[in-house]
Amino acid sequence: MKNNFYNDGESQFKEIRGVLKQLPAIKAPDNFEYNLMTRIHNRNFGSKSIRESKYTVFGFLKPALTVLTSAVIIFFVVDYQTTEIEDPLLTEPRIRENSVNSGSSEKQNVKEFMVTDKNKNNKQLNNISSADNSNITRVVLGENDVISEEKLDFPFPDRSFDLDTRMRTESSVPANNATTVLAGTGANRIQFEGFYNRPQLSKKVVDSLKNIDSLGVKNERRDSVLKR
Amino acid sequence: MKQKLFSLSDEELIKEFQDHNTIEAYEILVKRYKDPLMNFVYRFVGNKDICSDIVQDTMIKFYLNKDSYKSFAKFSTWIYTIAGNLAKNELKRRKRRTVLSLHNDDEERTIQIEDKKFFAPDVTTDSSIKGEMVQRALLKVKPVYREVVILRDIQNFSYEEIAEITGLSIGTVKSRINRGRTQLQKLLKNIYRD
Repeated sequence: MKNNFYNDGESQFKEIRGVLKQLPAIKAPDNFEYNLMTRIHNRNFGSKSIRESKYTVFGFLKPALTVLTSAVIIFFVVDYQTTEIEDPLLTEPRIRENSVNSGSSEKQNVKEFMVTDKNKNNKQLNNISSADNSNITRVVLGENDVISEEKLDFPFPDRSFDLDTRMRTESSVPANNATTVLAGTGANRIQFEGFYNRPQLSKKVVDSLKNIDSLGVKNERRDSVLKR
Repeated sequence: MKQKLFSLSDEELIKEFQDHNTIEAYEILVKRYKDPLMNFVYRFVGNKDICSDIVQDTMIKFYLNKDSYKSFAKFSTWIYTIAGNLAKNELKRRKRRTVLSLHNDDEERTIQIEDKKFFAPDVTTDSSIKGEMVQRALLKVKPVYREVVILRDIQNFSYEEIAEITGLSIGTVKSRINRGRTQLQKLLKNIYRD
C-alpha cells in the first residue's frame, strides 16, 4: 500500500515532472577541461569553490574590534583629571599627631593670607613661603580678580642665623649691657647641669627678709610724703 | 588506443585509470560527466560560477581519490555522491554568509517568484523565463528534498541509484521526492494556470 502511494505520486505529479524535464540542460564552459587539466598538471589541488567572502565574521567584527581597542587605550593610557571639590565641612579633622609630624617636615610651607585695602574693594593675598628663601612670593589679587605674583626679599641672609647676635645689633640696649644673654650661644653658652631642689629657708631667715621688704615699703612712703 | 577507451564503460575506464594510471581514461570520464554534473550542481546551487568550481573540485577529488572507488558500485553514483557532498557543503557555507550578510538576495527571489505581475502576461509564457522561474522555485525547496527531486526528475536516476547516492533508504528517498514535488507544485501553481 505504501509502495502504491509513492507510485501514485509519479502520476500525481505528472505536470511538475514535465516542467522539470523541460528545463534546459546546463553545459560546462568550453575551457572546463583545459582548466581542469592545467590544475592537475600544476598540482593545484586547492578547493576553488571555497571563496573568500566580503562578509566574513572577521570582516563584520573589524569595526567593533577597532572601537574596543580605542576604548581600552583611552581607559588605561589616557589619565584624565577628575575635578573633585573637597568640601571642608565633610572632611575629617586632621589628627594632632599628623599635624605635628607635618609641621616638622623639611618642606613646610607657611601661608599667610591677608586681605587688605578693603576700602578700594581690592583683595590682596600674601603667600609667603619659608621653605625656599630664594622663591618667596606674594600673590596679589587685583581688580577684576587679576592674579599677579610679586617677589619678596627674605629678611634673613641665610637659612640659619644667630638670633642673639641679630637682636643685640638691632636692640637699643647700650653696649655696656651687652653681656645680656638671651639664649646661650657661642662662648656664653650655658651648659645644662640638670634640675636642682631649692633649699628650704628657715622661718628666721624668711621673717628677716620680710622685714627688709617692709622697710623698703616704709621708706617709699616716707619719700612720697616728703615730695609732697 | 584512445578509440578503444571510448568504447569502454565507466567502470572499465576507472579500472584502467586505477590500474595503469591512464590519464586518457580519466579525460574520457571527465568528458562524459562534466555536463550532467554541471546540470545537477547548477539546479542544486543556482550559481553557474560556483557550480563550475564545484564540478572541477569533484573531478579533482576523483583524480586524487581514484583508489577509494570500489568496483561493486556504479561509477555514476560514486561521482554524483562526491558532487552532491561538495554542493551541500557550499550551500551550508552560503547559508552562514547569508546570516551575516547585509544584502539578502533571497528576498528578491521571493518577490520575483510569487509576484506574477513582475513579468508581463505575454512574456510569462516564454520558455526561458519559465525555466528561470522553475529554477528559482526549485531553490526555495528544502535542500534535502531538492537533491532527490533533481536526481529523480532532471537526472533521471532510479530510486535505487538515488538511495545509493544519498545513502538513504529507498522509502526515505520516495517520501522526500514526494514532499519536494509537493513544495515545488505550491510554488509553481501560477505557471500551471497559464
